[in-house]
Amino acid sequence: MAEICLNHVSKSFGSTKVIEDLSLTLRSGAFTVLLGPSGCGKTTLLRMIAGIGPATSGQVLMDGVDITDVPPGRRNVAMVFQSYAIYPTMTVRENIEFCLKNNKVPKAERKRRVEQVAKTVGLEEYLGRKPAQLSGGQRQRIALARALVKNPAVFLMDEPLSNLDAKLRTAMRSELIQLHQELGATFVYVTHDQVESMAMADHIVLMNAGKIMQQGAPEVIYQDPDNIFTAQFIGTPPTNILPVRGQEFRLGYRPEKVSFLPDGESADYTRRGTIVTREMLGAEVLYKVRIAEGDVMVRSTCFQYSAGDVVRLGVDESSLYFFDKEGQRIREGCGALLSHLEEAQP
Amino acid sequence: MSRRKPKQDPHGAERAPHRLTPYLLVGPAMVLLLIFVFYPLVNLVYLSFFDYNLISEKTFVGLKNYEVLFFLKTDFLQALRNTAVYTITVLFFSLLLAVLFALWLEPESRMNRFLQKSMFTPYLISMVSCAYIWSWMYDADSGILNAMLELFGLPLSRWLNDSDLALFCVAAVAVWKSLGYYLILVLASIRTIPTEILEAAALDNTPPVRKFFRITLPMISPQLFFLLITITISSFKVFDVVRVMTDGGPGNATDVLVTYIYRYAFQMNARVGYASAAGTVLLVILMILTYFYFRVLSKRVYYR
Repeated sequence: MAEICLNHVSKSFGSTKVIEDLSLTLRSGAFTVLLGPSGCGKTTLLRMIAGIGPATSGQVLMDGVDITDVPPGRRNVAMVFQSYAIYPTMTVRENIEFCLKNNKVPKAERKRRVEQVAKTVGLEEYLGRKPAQLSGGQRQRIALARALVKNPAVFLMDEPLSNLDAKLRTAMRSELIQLHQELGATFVYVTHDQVESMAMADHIVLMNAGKIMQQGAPEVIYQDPDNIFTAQFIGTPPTNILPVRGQEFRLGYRPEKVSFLPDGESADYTRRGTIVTREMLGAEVLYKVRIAEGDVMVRSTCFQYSAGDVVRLGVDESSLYFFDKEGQRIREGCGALLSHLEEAQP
Repeated sequence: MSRRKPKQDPHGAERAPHRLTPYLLVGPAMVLLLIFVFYPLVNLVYLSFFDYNLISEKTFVGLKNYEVLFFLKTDFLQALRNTAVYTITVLFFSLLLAVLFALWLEPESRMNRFLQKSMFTPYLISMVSCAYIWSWMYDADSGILNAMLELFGLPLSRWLNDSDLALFCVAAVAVWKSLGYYLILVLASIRTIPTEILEAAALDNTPPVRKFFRITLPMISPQLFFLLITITISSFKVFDVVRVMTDGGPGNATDVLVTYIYRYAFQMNARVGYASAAGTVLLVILMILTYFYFRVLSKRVYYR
C-alpha cells in the first residue's frame, strides 16, 4: 500500500506538450482508473509513476518520499503492459522469476513465491512452457504473475485487458477486482473503456487533452458530471446535449432518464417528437427521437413504439443538467433556467 | 496460413491455373541453376577422380588425388589449417565487434547516424582496392603502421612478412571491410526489440550485463545465426584479399583453400583433377558445417 502524489507534473515530447502542470493524488489502497480517449495523457501519467517515461518537470511522490529520480526497478511498483511485454525467449517460470533473481532473492524463497503466484493466476501447469506456446489469455496471466510476484506497493496496469476477447475480458475484470480486494495494494489502471472503468474503479480520474476533466467515485462521475465532456464520455449512449433557443446555455439529460408520457400528462421537461430509429438491445430498447431542437437518444423498457410513431417525452428536473457555453456545468439557479426551457418551446 | 482458393471468374466457374504453369514460371531460374551451379558441381566431383590437365586425355585414377591431398603432400593440410584459423578469427572478431559497435551506436543521435554510415563505407569499396591500400599501410619500410609505432618508440613489426602474423593481418582487413554491413544488420535487429520488453526489464531491476545476455542477445540470435553462416561460408571461400596481399606467402603461411585450388588448377601445369579433389573437400566441409549449424545451433535460436 502506498499513496502516489503527482505534483505539478508536465510532459512534452519534442515541442508537443502532452501534460501541462497536472497535480493528482492517488489514494493508498484504492483502485484508481485513469480514463480518457486515446492521446489524453493517461498512459503518460502511468509511465511517470513507473519511472519509464520521466516527467519533464514536476515531482512524483510515493508516501511523501520524492521518487522522481529513483530508477524504475527500485520504486516498489509493478506494471502490466498492454502488449504484456513478456520476455519471449524465457519460459513462464523464468519470466516470473526474473525480477526476483535480479533482486537476489534466495533460490528456495524464489521457488516458493513463483509457485504460489502461478497458483493464484492458474499457470502451475505451464511453468516450463515458452510464452509462444500459450494463448493470449494465458500470456496475460504471465504478465500479471510477473507483477504479483514482486509483491509491490503499487500495481500499474496499462489497458491490460484490451487484447482479450470480450468473454475473457469480463472474466478477468472480476478476477482483478477480487485480486485488489485480497491484496489491498494501490492499483492504478489505465483504460479508454468507460464501462470497464465504472465496473472496476473506486475512483475515476477522467482526462482529456492532458487535463483532468473530473475525478471522483464512479457514481459521482455518472450522476453528477462537471462538464459536457464528462457527461458525454460516461454512459452509453452518451448524454443528450441540446441547444436552447435564444439562450447561451445548453441542456443535457441521459437517454435512460427519459420516459414516455401518456396523453394529458406532463413532466418538468416535456417534448413532442417522432421516432426515427429503433434498436432492440434485449432488456431495453434504444430509440432515436426527433424533437424540435434535434435528435435525442432514449433508452427505455417500453418496447411498443416503432419508427414513425409520434411520442411525448418527459424528464424530471432532477435529471436535467445545464451547461454554460464553455461546456461547464451550471449548478446555481437551475430553476430559473428551467423556465427558459418552457418559454423557448416552439 | 490456409491455402488460397482458386480465383473465381464472374460466372462462378473455378479457374484453376494450368498444371504446368508453376513449372513454366520457375523454369528459367532452374535452367540457369542447372547450367551454372549443378552441372559444375557434379563435374567438379567427377573430375576429382581423374588425372586431367585441360589438354590431355582424362585418366581415371580413383581416389589417388585424395590420397595425395591428405597423405603425400603437406601443403594441402597447411592450407586447410590456415583456412580454419582465418575463418575462426574473422568470425569471432566480426560478430564480437559488430555487436559491441551496434550497442555503442544504438542510441539515436546525429553523431551515431554519421558513424554508422562511415563504418559502412568500406563495404562499398572493392576488396581488391582495400587489399592494396592495406598492403601499403602494412608495408614494413614505408607503411603508416610502422611509422606510427616508430613515432611512439615501439618495436616495429614486419606485418605481412611475418609468417606468424600475416594471416591475422589479412583477416583484420576482411573484418574491417565488412564490419559496417554486419553492424547495420545487428543494429537493425536490436532496434526491433519491443521497447516495452526493455521497459519491463528496467522495472524488473535488471543489471545491464544480464539484460544483454538474457534479453538482447537471445532476441537478436536469428540475425547472429544468419551472420554466423554467411561469414563462415564467405571466409572458407576467401580468395581475393589473400591473393592481392600475400598470395599465400610468406612461405605457405597464408595459403588458404581457394588460393591453393587456384594455384594447382591455373598456375602449376593446370592439374585440374587434383584441384577438383581439393574443391570437393572444400564443398564437403561447407556442407558439413552448414548442416551442423542448422542441426545443433538453430535450436538455440529464437524466431519470432
